[in-house]
Amino acid sequence: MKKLVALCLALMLLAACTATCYAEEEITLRMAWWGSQSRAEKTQKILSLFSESHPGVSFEYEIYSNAGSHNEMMATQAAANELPDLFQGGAMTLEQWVKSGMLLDLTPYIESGALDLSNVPESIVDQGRIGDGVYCVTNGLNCYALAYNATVAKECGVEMKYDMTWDEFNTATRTIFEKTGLKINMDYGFVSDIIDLVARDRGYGLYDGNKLGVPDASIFEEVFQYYLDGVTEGWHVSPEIFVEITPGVVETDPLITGSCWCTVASSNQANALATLIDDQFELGMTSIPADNPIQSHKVDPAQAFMISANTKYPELCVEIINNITNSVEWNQILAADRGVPINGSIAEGIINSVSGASTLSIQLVKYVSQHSSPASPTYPKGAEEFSTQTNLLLEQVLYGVITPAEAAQQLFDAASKILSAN
Amino acid sequence: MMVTSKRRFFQRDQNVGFLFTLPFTIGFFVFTVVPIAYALYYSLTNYDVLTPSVFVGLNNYINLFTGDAVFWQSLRATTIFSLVSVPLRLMFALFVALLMLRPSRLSSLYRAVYYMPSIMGGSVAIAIVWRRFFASNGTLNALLGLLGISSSYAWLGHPNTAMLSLILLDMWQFGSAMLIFLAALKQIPQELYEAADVDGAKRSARFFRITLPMLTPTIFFNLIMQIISAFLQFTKCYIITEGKPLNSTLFYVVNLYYQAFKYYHMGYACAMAVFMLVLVGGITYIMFVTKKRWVYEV
Repeated sequence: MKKLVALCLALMLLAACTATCYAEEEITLRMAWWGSQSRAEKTQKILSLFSESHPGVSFEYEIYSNAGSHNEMMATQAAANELPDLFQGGAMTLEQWVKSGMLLDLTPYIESGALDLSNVPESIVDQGRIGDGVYCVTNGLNCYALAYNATVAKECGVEMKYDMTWDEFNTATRTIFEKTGLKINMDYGFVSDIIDLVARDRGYGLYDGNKLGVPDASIFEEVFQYYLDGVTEGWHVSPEIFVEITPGVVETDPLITGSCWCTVASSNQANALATLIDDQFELGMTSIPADNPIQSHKVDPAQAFMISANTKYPELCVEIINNITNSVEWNQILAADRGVPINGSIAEGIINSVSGASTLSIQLVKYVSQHSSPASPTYPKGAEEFSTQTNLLLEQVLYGVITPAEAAQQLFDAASKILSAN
Repeated sequence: MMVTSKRRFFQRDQNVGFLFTLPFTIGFFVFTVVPIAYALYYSLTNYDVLTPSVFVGLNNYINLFTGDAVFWQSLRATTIFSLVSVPLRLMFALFVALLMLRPSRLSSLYRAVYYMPSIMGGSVAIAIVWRRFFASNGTLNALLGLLGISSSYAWLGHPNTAMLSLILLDMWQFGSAMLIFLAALKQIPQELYEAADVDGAKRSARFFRITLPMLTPTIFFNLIMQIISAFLQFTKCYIITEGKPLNSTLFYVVNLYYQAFKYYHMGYACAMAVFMLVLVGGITYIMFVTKKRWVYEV
């Protein structure tokens, strides 16, 4: 008798489980991206619009505060073959992932028209092309920018304009520091990006295919010396505070917390910055200083949406990417937070409907894209490690452990080892 | 009727016992033994997660010991952390346990309150709070300001004080060691203390001649467990300092994580993991071998 009761209970439990499993044919798409709070809100808003028009589809988000954590988590999930259906990728690992078959080739969808890239310049479509296939679609265009406190600049009589030379910018820096004590943050934590811009200024580029693009350590030394001068003379923010804040996270940037009047940001972070500044001062945005602007400037596909090769719902994911690229409504909500829309007509369309900070970024990207030279969208294998090594050596210079010359030489020697070992 | 062989199987205690341990054994095998075996295998390859692995023999180990300054730095940082924080933590735990020996109406409350950091402390939330606490515009400097010392010192920005803040966080979580000491203290036979009183022993003699020797097995146990866990610390370093400044606070496991998931050197990271296994095993072995010298076994 007891055994009968036990058997009945077990069967009922089994039936209940199976019933729940087959009751709902709900689709849940996993999405991952990085960015600030305002980007998260905007993205969730457009995705809820998608859910409304596609009943039964819901989303599971994985949101990270900065690109570093996002990429590390994607690497972990790639190892387990469990990448999210749709995720924002970083350029540094694109090639590796394509080679190991982690990403879905979007060419059939482009050809069938499900992913309509007809209004997108060919050069931008090529940013996602590896080998024979297109594996990612740029969310939007952005470029490096100096985000600055326009109120303070005006008060100190400093004119900030597009295409300032390094001399002009250095004068501005020192003037404002002497008058107000406010400093600058020249992208500390991402020094290799600055090195790349300076190298391009001189006619090289940090990477040349899979190797280092600079012939010797002199550019490294120049950049390290710049930071050292800044910290010693006081006009660059001290490296000590970058342990307690994470570089690249907009919310804790020294421009927001008040010790800097100028910082380096991506043009599409204008909105996030403006929201955080909240009318305390006027935000301005201009291009990174360069002596040869057209050589130095570049337009980045720093974010691109990719679809995992293992996704069960490729059509839905393609539709989402299509909407991000081509839907006016979605882009009005996004307001260039993910970069200036790659669809030319949409970019023109939203200029009139967005306001304030978004206008700054759209205007800057428009200008830079017309006054820039091509840049490779992918990084060689080992770029991440090289970037960390650069940051570490700069840290050692700023803490007085080694001289800029020694650091530059160590970096140059390490480059050949890191980039070739991979 | 013949007893079926199935019945006979279940009648032997040994077999039933084996079946009862099967859930654990299977779990242990699948989630511990097999991954360790895989790690051993991958440490001999240049597996980079995305492409099939290629056997390279002992290359990873050779590179680890001869070509990687960051590895030695992380080992140094982790060792300093362990050797400083573990004894401090145990001393603190013992001190508080001795205070709590005195029965008072609030002793259960005190026990709960002092144990709380142990539960919460390892979490990410506390680590973030700690990071803000030591920030240049954080709580510690604000408190110093209240005391009249105006300070905007970046505690986490200098190599010495950054390590101190991590050690402090580890010391703060003394609760579990404290409870174990408390239990052991209560087991020390009262006759010993009474005999000491009769002989006219002073307070310090009571502590150093009776309490401490009787506690040595517990101290031994705590020491081993705490040292092993100190070498495997991850959250503190990853959230609070990420190894900066100058890699002075880079813990071994955080370095391993970066190698594996940031640079895609999974084979190399596995070699690091195997080395940690050998290191911790070696330390434990040495402690067991020298046990007889200082641990008083009743």
